[in-house]
Amino acid sequence: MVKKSTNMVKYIIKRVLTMIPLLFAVLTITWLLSQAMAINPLQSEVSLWDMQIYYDEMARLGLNQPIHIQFLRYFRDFFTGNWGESYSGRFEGWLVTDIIIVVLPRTLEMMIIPIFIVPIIAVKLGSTSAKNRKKKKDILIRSSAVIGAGFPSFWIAILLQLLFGVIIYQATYLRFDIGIYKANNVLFTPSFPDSIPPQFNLIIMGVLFFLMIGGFYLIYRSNKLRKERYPESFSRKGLLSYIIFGVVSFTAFFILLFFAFSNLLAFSVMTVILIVFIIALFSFGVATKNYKSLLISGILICIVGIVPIMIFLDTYGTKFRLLDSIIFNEPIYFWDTIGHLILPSLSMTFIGLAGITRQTRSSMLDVLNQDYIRTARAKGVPEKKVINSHALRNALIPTSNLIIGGTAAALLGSLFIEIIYDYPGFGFTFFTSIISGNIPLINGCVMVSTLILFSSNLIADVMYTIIDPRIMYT
Amino acid sequence: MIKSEQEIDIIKEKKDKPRILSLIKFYLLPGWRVPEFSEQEYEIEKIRSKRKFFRHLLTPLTIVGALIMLIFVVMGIFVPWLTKYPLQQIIPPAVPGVPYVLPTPNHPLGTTKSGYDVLSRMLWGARTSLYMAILPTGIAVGGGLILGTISAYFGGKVDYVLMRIVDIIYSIPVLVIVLILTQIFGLNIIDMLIIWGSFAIAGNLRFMRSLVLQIREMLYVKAAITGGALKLKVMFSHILPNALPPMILTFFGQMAITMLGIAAIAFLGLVNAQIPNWGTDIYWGNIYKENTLAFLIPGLCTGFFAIAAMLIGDGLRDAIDPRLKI
Repeated sequence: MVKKSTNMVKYIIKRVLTMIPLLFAVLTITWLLSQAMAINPLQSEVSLWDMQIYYDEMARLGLNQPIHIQFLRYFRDFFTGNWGESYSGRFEGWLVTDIIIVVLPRTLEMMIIPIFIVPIIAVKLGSTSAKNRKKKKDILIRSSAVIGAGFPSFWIAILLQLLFGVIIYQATYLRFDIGIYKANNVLFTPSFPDSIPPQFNLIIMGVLFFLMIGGFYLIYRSNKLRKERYPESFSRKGLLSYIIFGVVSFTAFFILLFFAFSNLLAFSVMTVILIVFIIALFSFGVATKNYKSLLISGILICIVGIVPIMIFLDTYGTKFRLLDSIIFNEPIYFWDTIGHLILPSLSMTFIGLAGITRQTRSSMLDVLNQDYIRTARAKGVPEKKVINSHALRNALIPTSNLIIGGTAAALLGSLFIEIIYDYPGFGFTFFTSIISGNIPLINGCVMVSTLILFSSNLIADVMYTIIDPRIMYT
Repeated sequence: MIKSEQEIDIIKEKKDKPRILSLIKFYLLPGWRVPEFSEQEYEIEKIRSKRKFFRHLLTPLTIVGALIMLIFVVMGIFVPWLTKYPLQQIIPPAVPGVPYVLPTPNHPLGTTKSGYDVLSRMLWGARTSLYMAILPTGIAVGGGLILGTISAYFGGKVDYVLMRIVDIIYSIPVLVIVLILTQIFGLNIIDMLIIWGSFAIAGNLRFMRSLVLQIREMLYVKAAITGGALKLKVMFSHILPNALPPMILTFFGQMAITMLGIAAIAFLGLVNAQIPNWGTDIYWGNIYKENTLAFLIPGLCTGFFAIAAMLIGDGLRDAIDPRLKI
C-alpha cells in the first residue's frame, strides 16, 4: 500500500509537470487565434470620429506596440496575475480576474443538480435497465435515454421556455404573482458588506456546531479502535478527554461569539446551541473513551479552521448567490436566485442523464456476462448484493470517467443553455466575448476552461486507481 | 455425443442441397422422416442461426433507427423533385413572402423568416445534414485511422510529436476553438465542417493507437515481420484490416455528436444561412414568433437524425462485438 501511494504521488507530480509546457502551448495558440480575429476590439467602445481619443485608447491598452512585444507582455502579465481588462460588453472596464470570480460561481450554482444528483439517478437507471434486459422497463429507459441524448439540448431548453414562459404564463396570467425581480441582472450588485452590518448567522453557527460534533465523532472512533486493539489498557480516562475537549472548544466558541458579534439573535441561537452541546457532550462522554492525538486534532480543527473561514465569509461573502443570501439575510434574493436556477439546471439535467445512463447500461451488460457474476449467484449471494456490490462496482470504472469528464464538458457546454435563458454565467460571458472580439476576456476564459479540463483529467485518472485497485501508474 | 460418420455425411448433404427441394418430400410424405435425425438437424440449424449477423442486428430499435435514417437519406437525395420551391427562393437574399405565416395550402408547414417555406427548408436541410454528418466524421475517422496506425507502429519521435499535439487539442475545448475560427475565416459551413473534422481526429487517433498497440503484439504480425515484409505492407495489410471494425463502429456514434455540435453552432447564428440547415432554422424560428412549427420541425428533424445514427451504431455494436466499449 505504501508503495502504491508513493507511486501515486510521483504520478501526480509528473502529470502536473507535463501540464506546464502544454499550458504554454495553449496560451500561445489562444493568443494567436485571438489576434487573428477580424474584429477591431475598440470599435464598440471608442467613437471613430475623434481619432485622438482612439489613438490614446490604443496606447493605454498597449495595442500600438509591435506584435512580438505584445506577445511577451501578454506572457508576463499572465503570470503576474494581470489578465488585462475587458474592452466592451456588460463588464466594460472590469479586470478579467474579477469578471471570472463573479461569473464562474453562477455557472457552478447552476451545475449543483447536474453534478451531484444526476450521476446517482443515472447510474441507478442504467443498472435497472441492464438488469431487465429486453423487457419493458429496459426499452422504456433506453428509448428515453436515446431521446435525451439525441435531441439538441438548446432545443429542449427552448421547449421548456415555451412551456413555462409562454403557455403556462398565458394560461395563468395574473393569477400567480411570484416576487422574482432584477436579482439575475449582473449590474444589480447589492453591496452586502457595506449596507448590512455583519452578523453571526445561522449558517456559520451550524458549521461550527457540526465541526464540534465532528471532533467528538473522531474521538469516539479512535476510542473504539483503541479498545479493539489494546483491550487491556481500556480505562475510564475517556470521559476526561471529552470534558477537556468540550470545555476548550466551547470557551473558544464563546469568546469568538462575544468578540465578533453582539446582538440578540446571536444570543438566542447561542443558548439553544449551548443546550444541544451539553446534551451531546454528556451522551458521547458516557458512551466512549480516550485518544490523545485525535483529541488535539479535533480541537485544532474547531478553533483554527473556523476563524479564518468565518472572517472571510463575513467580509467578502462566497460569491455564490445562494450562500451569500443566507449569510447576509436576504430571503427575497435567495428565492429569486432559486427561481432563476430551476429551468437552466433542469435542462442541463437532461443531457447528463442520457449520457451516463447509456454508458452505465452498456458497461453493466458487459459485466453481467462475466463469470464471477455467475459464481456469485451460484454460491447463493442475494441478487440485490450481486447487482450492487459485485456488478455495479466494476461497471462504474468506465462510467466514472464519463461522469468527471462530462462535468467539465458540461461546465463549458452550458453555454447554449445560458444564452437561451440569458443567464450571466461563464459560458455566456465566453460567448459574448468571442462575438465582440474582447481579446483579454477570451484569453482569460480559455485559460480557466483549460485549467478545468486539466484538473478534471487528472482527477479522473486518480479516481481510476481508487475505484479499481488493479490499475497502477508507474 | 459422438455422431457416426454416416449421419454427419447425411447432414452435410442436406446443407449442400437447396432447401426448398429437400423440404418438399416432407410435406408430401409425412412420417417418412426419422425423428432423431430431424431433431439433430434442428439443433444445428439453431446454432447456425444464432451466429447469423442479421439475427443480432435486427432488433426493433435498430430497425426503427435504420428506417428513420432511410427516410432522411431519401429526402436528401431526391430534394429537387420533392420540393415545391426552388433553392433560390428559400435562401437569404430572396424575400418571397410574408414571414411566419401559419400553415396554408401553399405552405403546408407555414413560413419562416422572410417568408421561406418551412417544408422546403426542412427537405434541403436533410441534404445538408447528410454532408454535416458524413464529411467531418469521415475526415475524423479516416485521419484517425491513418495517423493512429503511423503513430503506434513507428513509435519514437513521430509518436511523441503526434501525442503532444493530441494533448494540446484535448486541453482546449473544441467548441470554443471552432467558435473563434468561425470568427476568423468568415462564416462558411464547409470550412467549419472540415475544421470540426480535423479537430475530432485527435480522439480517434488515441483510440486507433491503442488498438494498433494491442494488435502489434499478435503472433501473425510478428510472423509477417520475421518473414521480411515491408513496414508499410505490415501496417496496411496486416494491422489495419484487423483494427477496422471498432473504428467503423465509432463512425455512427460520432455522426450524432458532430451533427448536434454543428447544429448548435448554427443555432448561435454563426454559419452561412445561404446553405439551408436545421440549426439556422431553429435560430430563426423563435418561440415568440407566430408560427411555432418553424421552430419545432427543424428541432425534431435534428433529433431524429441523431437518434437514428445512435440506434444504428448501438445495433451494430451489439451485433459485431457486444464486449466492445465505445
